[in-house]
Amino acid sequence: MQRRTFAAASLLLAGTLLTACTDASGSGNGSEDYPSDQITMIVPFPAGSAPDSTARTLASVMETELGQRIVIENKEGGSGTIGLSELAAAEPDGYTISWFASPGVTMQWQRIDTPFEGPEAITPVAQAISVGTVMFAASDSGLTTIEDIVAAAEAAPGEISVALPGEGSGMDLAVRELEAAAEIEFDRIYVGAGEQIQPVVNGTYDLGAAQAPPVVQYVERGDLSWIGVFGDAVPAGIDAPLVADSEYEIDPTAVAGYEGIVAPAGTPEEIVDALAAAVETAVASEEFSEYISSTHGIAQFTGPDDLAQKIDDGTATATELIERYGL
Amino acid sequence: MDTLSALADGFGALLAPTALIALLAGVVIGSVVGVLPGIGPVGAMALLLPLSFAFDPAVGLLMTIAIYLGSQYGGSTSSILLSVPGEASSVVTTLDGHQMTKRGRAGAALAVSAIGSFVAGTMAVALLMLLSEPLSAFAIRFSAPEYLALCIFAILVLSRLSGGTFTRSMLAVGLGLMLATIGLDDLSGNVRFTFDIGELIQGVEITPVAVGLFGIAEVLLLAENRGHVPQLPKVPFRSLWPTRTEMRRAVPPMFRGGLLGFFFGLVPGPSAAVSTYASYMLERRISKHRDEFGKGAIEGVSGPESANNGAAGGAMVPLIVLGFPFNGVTALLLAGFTIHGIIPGPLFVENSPDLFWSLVAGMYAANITLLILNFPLVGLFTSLLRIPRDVLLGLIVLIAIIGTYAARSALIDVFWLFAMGVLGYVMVKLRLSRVALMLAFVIGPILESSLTQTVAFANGDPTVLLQRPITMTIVVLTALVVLTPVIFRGLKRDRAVDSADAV
Repeated sequence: MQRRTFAAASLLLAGTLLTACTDASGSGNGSEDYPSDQITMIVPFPAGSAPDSTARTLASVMETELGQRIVIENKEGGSGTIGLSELAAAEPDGYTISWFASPGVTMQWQRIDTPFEGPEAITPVAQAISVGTVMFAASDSGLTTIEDIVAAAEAAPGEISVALPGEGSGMDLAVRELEAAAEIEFDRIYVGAGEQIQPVVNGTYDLGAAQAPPVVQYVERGDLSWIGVFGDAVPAGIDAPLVADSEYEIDPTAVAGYEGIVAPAGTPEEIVDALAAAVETAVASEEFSEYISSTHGIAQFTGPDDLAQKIDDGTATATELIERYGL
Repeated sequence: MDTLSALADGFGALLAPTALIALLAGVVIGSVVGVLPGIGPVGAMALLLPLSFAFDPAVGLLMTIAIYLGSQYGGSTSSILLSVPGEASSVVTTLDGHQMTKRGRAGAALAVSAIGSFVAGTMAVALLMLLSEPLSAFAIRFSAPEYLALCIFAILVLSRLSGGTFTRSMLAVGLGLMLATIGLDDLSGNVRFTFDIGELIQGVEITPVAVGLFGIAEVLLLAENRGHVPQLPKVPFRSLWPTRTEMRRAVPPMFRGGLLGFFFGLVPGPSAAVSTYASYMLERRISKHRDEFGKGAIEGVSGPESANNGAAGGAMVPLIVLGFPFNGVTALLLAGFTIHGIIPGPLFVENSPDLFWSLVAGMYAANITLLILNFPLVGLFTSLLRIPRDVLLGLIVLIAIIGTYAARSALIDVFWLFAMGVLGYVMVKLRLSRVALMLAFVIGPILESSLTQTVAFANGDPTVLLQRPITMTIVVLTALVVLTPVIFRGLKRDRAVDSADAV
């Protein structure tokens, strides 16, 4: 009977060991033969979320490019700033990098009390994608264009409701910018990220703004119709005009979201360049293109210098918007 | 037949080696932990969920489901053999199950409860499969006011059913809601109650809360009363076959119990435990052998044991269709789904049919696997009860720490784990419902967001809840359950255990 007990105990123990993951952070030995060890990539979003799958898809292509494993560590929280503060504390040797989404770097750290200090704490490496934010309406509302919703809001100021993820989110700012440009007023309702679609489908709210992928099938089925795309590019497989191309002056760079890779501040230039080259090749790869078209994304590579400029402009715009809207 | 081809695809997805391994591992580990006395399904789920984080979403989901179903099977073993219920929903089983053991029919009791669990579990999956699509199509009409009504319904009904006074329940609910508000509020962008501790911005995770309340607290309670290693009756493999008479008497209660359990599962609160009482009373009322009840009537084992598995399946319906947990175990299941990036709700069946069907197929497969496993391994499972307590407690704490840390590799979660362990211990001592706390913690964010939206939507007019057909229905139901505890008065009499922890 003793043996039985052992067997049972080892069953339990085996389960325990299953969960134990090895975690070895590489220690660099000079940047000339970079990378000579596995790289840890922090993803400041939950496992399984959209930015997480993009990061993982890109990282798997970059692995073959760099000839080293890239280990993903999810450190979610604080609108994507918690992971970035972990990154800022890491050695700037290229063996710890992080995925980022623009609001966390340009905007959220100014709005919430987070250990992340903003762009000073990081070295931009490369942008990999742009995030398409779409505006949509229930099909039976009869609203199908930007002009329609502006006319509707003029007729009933403050009555047309828009479902938005949260106050100060990129989508919130985009809608506020549209309100300012068209001199109208919507009834902005904050419903929480991911909750914007259902209440528009069932007619509780008139309009919604969300990331494109989950909206597509409702448009295909005829429940929802596209109004327009905020930002500077239309996502793959989506038939809607850019809001920036309408008669209302909206600066697309102020509201467009983008994602990519950053390193800790003070990372040597040759390491940043090596990583950026790998991102560029990976973004152009067939595997990544397939992923983009299946998820209705926008592949868009930007190198270190342009990305740094983009982040600085975005941070300045965010400061101004926070001031203007009292966020 | 659209359903059949979809289901076939679901089974096809199960044939991948990783899926099979995950399913098998989930079932075995779930059963093993379920057998251990003191750790009910909630504790088992909480301890084991982190294991599933290692897999990709579809496979991780399968493992989560397998753990869920597995942990529901094990509780009866110690009830039957030792008269020590593994969890609240096996308390009723001790009445006749342990009497059967005394009469040397332990094997038959174990076999009948495994077969009953399988029958009821399979029935529940079939109903879930048939009901999910039409109910989801209906649930798409739910908006903020409906979710608000649902939250109020869940909290009030839970406090009504989980025993203890209204004040005690509300105290636990309040604690849970307070925990849920810590961190960044996505709607307003405000950071709340973090006291300038950076790690608190991301709020409190469910893993340490659940594992602490139901795992660590249990360890503290077990360590307190130094038990002796029990003398286990031998269960030879040959004695596992019920006689023809026993079988004939045990089968009808399985179907009745399974159906009864399923409908109980649709109600918030400790539905599994309540359904076992209901099934036992039903069987006693209609049985020809009424005098045998309490002396080893096999119907008194097969009915309740089927009912709690029916309830486990029934509780999946509100989770899948509304994305809303009605009890402790489904609250954890929801957390497990979310961690795998799967958001159940009215759009789930439509948006992710592949996932939904592989989940249904996984539930069928898990039930079959459990039935097959339970027979040869019954000896092994019972020998688990022989593990020296010191070793066992150490192991549980070890698994708890590793699992909690592995969930998102944040050390603060380990601190939360022990804080919650101590809180859980204190709550048990004060007879406060831990399930109420956990449920409130999980539905807190839903409650808050639906409340702020409803207030904005109705311009602060609370009668909006009486003006919409669905909310009106929920409000009436709530009133019914809260005002007519008569139905459950019979259950209150024999509350041998603190059913506050019933799930």
